Amino acid sequence: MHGRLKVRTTAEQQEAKRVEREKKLKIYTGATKKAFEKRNNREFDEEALKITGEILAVNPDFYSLWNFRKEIFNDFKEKRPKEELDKAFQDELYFLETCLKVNPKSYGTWHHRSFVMETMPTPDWKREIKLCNTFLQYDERNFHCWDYRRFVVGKASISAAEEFEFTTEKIANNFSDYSSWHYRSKLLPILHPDKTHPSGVNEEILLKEFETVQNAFFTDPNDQSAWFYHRWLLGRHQRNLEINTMFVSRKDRRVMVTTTKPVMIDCNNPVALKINDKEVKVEWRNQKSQRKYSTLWLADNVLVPDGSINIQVLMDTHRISQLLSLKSDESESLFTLPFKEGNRFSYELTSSTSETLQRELEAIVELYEIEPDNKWVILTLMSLMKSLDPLKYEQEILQQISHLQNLDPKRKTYYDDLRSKILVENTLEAFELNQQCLDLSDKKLTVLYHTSLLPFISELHLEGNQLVNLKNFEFLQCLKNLILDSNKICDINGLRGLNSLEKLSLKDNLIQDVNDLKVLQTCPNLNTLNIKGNTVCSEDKSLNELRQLLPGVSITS
Amino acid sequence: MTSDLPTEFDFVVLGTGLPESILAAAVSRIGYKVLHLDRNDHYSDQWASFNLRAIERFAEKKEGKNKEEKDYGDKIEESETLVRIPTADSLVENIRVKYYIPEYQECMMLVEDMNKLLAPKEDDKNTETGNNDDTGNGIAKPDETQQTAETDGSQVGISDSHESTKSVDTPIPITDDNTRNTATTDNATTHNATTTNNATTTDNVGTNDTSETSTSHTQNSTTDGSATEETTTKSDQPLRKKKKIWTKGELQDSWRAFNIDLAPKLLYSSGKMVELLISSDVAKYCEFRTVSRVLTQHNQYIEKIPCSRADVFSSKDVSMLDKRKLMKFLEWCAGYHKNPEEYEEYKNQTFLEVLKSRKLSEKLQNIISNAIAMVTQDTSTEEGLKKTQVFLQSVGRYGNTPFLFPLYGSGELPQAFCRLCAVFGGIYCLQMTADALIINKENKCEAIITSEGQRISCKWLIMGSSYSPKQYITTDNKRQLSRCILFTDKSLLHSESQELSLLWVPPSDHNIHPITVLELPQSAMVCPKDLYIVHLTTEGSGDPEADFSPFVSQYLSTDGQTQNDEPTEKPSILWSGYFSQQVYRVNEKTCDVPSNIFILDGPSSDIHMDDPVLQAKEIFKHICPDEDFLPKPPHPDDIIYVDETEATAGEGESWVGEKEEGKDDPKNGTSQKAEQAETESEEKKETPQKTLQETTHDSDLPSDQNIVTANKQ
Repeated sequence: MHGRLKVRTTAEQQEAKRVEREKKLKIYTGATKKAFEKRNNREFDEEALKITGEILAVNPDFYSLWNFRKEIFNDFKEKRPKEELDKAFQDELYFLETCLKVNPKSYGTWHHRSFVMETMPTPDWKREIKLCNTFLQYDERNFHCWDYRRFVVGKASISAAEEFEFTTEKIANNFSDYSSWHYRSKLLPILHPDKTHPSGVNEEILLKEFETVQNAFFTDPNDQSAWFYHRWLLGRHQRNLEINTMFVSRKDRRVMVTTTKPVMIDCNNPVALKINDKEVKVEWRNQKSQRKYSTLWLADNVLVPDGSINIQVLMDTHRISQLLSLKSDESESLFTLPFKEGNRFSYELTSSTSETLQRELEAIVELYEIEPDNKWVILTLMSLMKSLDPLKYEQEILQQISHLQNLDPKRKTYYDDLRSKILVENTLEAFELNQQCLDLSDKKLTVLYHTSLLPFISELHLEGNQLVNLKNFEFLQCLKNLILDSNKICDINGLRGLNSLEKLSLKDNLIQDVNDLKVLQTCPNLNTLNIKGNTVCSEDKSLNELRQLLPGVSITS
Repeated sequence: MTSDLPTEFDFVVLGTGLPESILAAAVSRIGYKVLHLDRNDHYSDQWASFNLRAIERFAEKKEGKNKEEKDYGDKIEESETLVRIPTADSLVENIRVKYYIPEYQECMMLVEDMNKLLAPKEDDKNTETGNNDDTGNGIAKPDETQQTAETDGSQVGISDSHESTKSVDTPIPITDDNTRNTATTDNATTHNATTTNNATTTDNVGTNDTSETSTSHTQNSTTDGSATEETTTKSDQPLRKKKKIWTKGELQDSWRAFNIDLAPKLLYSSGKMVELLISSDVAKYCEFRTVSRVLTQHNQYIEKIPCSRADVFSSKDVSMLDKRKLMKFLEWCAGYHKNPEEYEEYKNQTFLEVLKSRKLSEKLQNIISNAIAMVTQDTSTEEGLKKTQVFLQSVGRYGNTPFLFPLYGSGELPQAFCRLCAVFGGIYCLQMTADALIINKENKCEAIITSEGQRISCKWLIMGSSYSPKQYITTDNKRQLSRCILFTDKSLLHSESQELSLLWVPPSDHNIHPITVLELPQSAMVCPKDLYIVHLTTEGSGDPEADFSPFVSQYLSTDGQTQNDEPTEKPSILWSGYFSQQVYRVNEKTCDVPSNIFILDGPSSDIHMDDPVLQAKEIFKHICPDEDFLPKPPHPDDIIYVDETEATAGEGESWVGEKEEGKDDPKNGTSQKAEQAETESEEKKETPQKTLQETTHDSDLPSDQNIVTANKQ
């Protein structure tokens, strides 16, 4: 049509852009070269600032140039008079602001800013807080800015109360803000400390927080940030380091200790063993015989004299010890920390009082009635039920797990493992640790949890489960008889170094190769092995090989 | 009468209302020659915004001068017929303006006696205004000034003031002689304006501008209320936050600070208008402010509703469970377009029935139906869902609520589109209209005859419905909007900050049609500080006072301002303006409308501006099915200027044409007039330069010198 504006064709525009870019590149490389020359010649002057400034304005991630600028400013600080210095630093702060506008997530820029603030003679920290808040307004998830803000808050001596108010504002603006929720969790113990409360925070304040966070997940139960904070509010009880169990076997000449937290025993952290108040020299090792932290430590070849004796373990570095007596007619003795049934595992979940839990449960049940298909609601519901009474709610929890598997099929195996964990825990709730035999058969377990609590059992029934491997079976140091029939096991490396193991039944599993069984060579007392129903049995050659590998073992195939 | 206008255009557009202006811009943008006329001396027609003086001038203006029909026999050929354009309807009908505050500060008190300050005080001096009905004759009714009995011992400056009524009908300057006796003692704080000659508006305001400032009013106008502010500060209790006490004089002195919309509108942040402003780049001509809160009536109280997720989270008014139910329902609405079959079962229900069936509490139902969806009893589910969706899609785009308000008033938007039209060569003449249309024997519009008597031929004719010859629109499509404009001294719902609020009042026993309430603060650039403009709009009965009186009496005080500044106190009305607006909505064209004439709707009672956009676009697509509707103008660098010969060949074309028109400027009265509205808008706001200079032809703008001459004409 007539009179229409003619717009450049794309080809023309492209060409124009190409030329433009070439021009820019030339300038850029030229400037870079010049900047490095000046740095080599240690020319710390305004020109150097100008050149590096121009480059950094377009590419704030060029950290070498930031370093050059730092050198320049350090040089200025020595040589320039104060007024000039002030101005130079002020200009630098302005310059940095323009860079941050180009890229608010540049490591170099934020780092340089903290350098300038620390180096300049009269830093205005309050102004920096405002700057940070502005940037956080644009993007509350800019962790660079959060980092810098923490640094500034430290310098500006802002009170925790003010900071708490800040997080309140941020959350009111957008509660999908992990950083602010997390910041609250750090500020609360400072603002409202309460040593008597397990969480370290005043109960009344906690109640208010529960209300705030409930408002968030009632508004949007799909937002994870609130649920994470809720989880924090419920608290995770920190157990003190204690000796959880201690075991001595006259026959095996063995002393075993488990602790509530992983510890290290080596020459720096020695542990003394005293028999009848006389120190006995022993060598401690963990279940894997590796120099790593562990909750299980054992000493073999201990000279246990006949008759009634007292054995004492002293962990000097941790100032804990445990005494155990072994009567003359006993071959073994076991000490276990007492626990209340139903609470053996609840420490993992919460430090809250059962009133708090009950109240929270009621709120979540209310939400669940409107949102029966929300996974966060169900997960929280389950964890509250579990904390309150795992045995009472067992069936409900298991049902919810199946529900979750339908809702969230991508995490099906995670939920399988969760179910396994709950089943094992509930079995262990009613299990005295000094019992010899544990039956966990036909529970569809996909993984065996809490083996660290079971170093004393000698017989373990796991037939009819869905186990794939035997991870963490190293803890079962007293295990003699292990029945793993009808699982999906293809990897038995978890049995490495089980000295006591005598009988192993692997009937109907998925072991394919002789080499997979090679690990049994590390079990010196193994005498019976059943591998019937595994593919490895299909070839005579393999069986022969196996017999050669495990000479003293009677093999059923 | 001769005129220098070209005699041929592709489009002649009558009326600078919103849809007309959009359409004018759209066709101009793709190269058509456009002549855009408006019979008023301002842009935006029924959508305009006025300052206080202008709106009061409206009240004075007497329409009904029936122009005699000129004979255009010489202008038409034999096969052609002449269709008269009706003489101007007034933009507003039955406007009545009233002040509820005294002319000047009456009572001054001494600071010492605190008790006295707390004592009740009524210094309501209603300045009664005359009626503007047909028989209206400005009867100056001396209003009785009440003096409050003060507690004994207090020294009160009492003045015997004599309020004379300002008759809006009488086009003569009314002089109010206020002799103020500042009573007794060393009352230094007393407002000292003695014997002030208040030169109120006169008919010829243009020239009055200067005389105004030269009157004894100077003290007031220069300090712009600061004098009184000082007094109130000192006389008011120092502990209490000072409340501004207004006088009529002060309001009138601040006349330029007002931008009062005839048709106040909002934009949905993701609505059609915003999309158009962005895609056409017209957005650069306007500025906006987000509506800061949406209100609703609940149990006779006004409450703020939570709009966004953040609002719902922080809301103290909504219970935890209701929060979830509200969010869940809104999520359900938001998913409507994705799987409509899910909503099939509700198809035959109304939206309100669906709300009930979903077990939402009464409070939530109120929020959803009256503040979010803004639906009535018989709104269908589908419409309700769609309205909810627009709301939800708009929340969070620019702010916590889904709405934007154009700074300086809704009247800015038509002007912005006119500007784009002019940038692409459209020619504007204000105070000019078509007297008649010339229809040829194929029943097509051949040409128009301007009010100057010039015949201008056109291929298409676009007009606002108020320009349409009556035979082209069916009269049953005529609707009446009742409008009420109030100045109040505080917000309907107390807040610490200046809020821009929207309230939708559903139909009830008191009002058959819903009432839309828009409360604008100073930050919307529509009024001075310490004041709110409240716009009430409803489809009316022709008696706006009656339509709004239940609402007004429930939530506002008509007793004038008091010193009392409790948050619970109702806002006081300082000034009110009631009027009706005749609006034709062209639902379907009657059969004898020529096919090249398009008639566009006037403002409706809808709060948003999406319908005008849709209507303009629809017509555009009808005329130019293969063209883009208002595509982004090219970057100036990308424009390749056509060479000289081509340029002269296409006279009146885009850039070149515009320049030539500029050249004509000094000798051509018409184009001066065309610019007049622009200068008018310059008068009423402080910062129009910014937008003006963004266009490429600021050199073409008339100087201040021109404004004066233009006005005098």
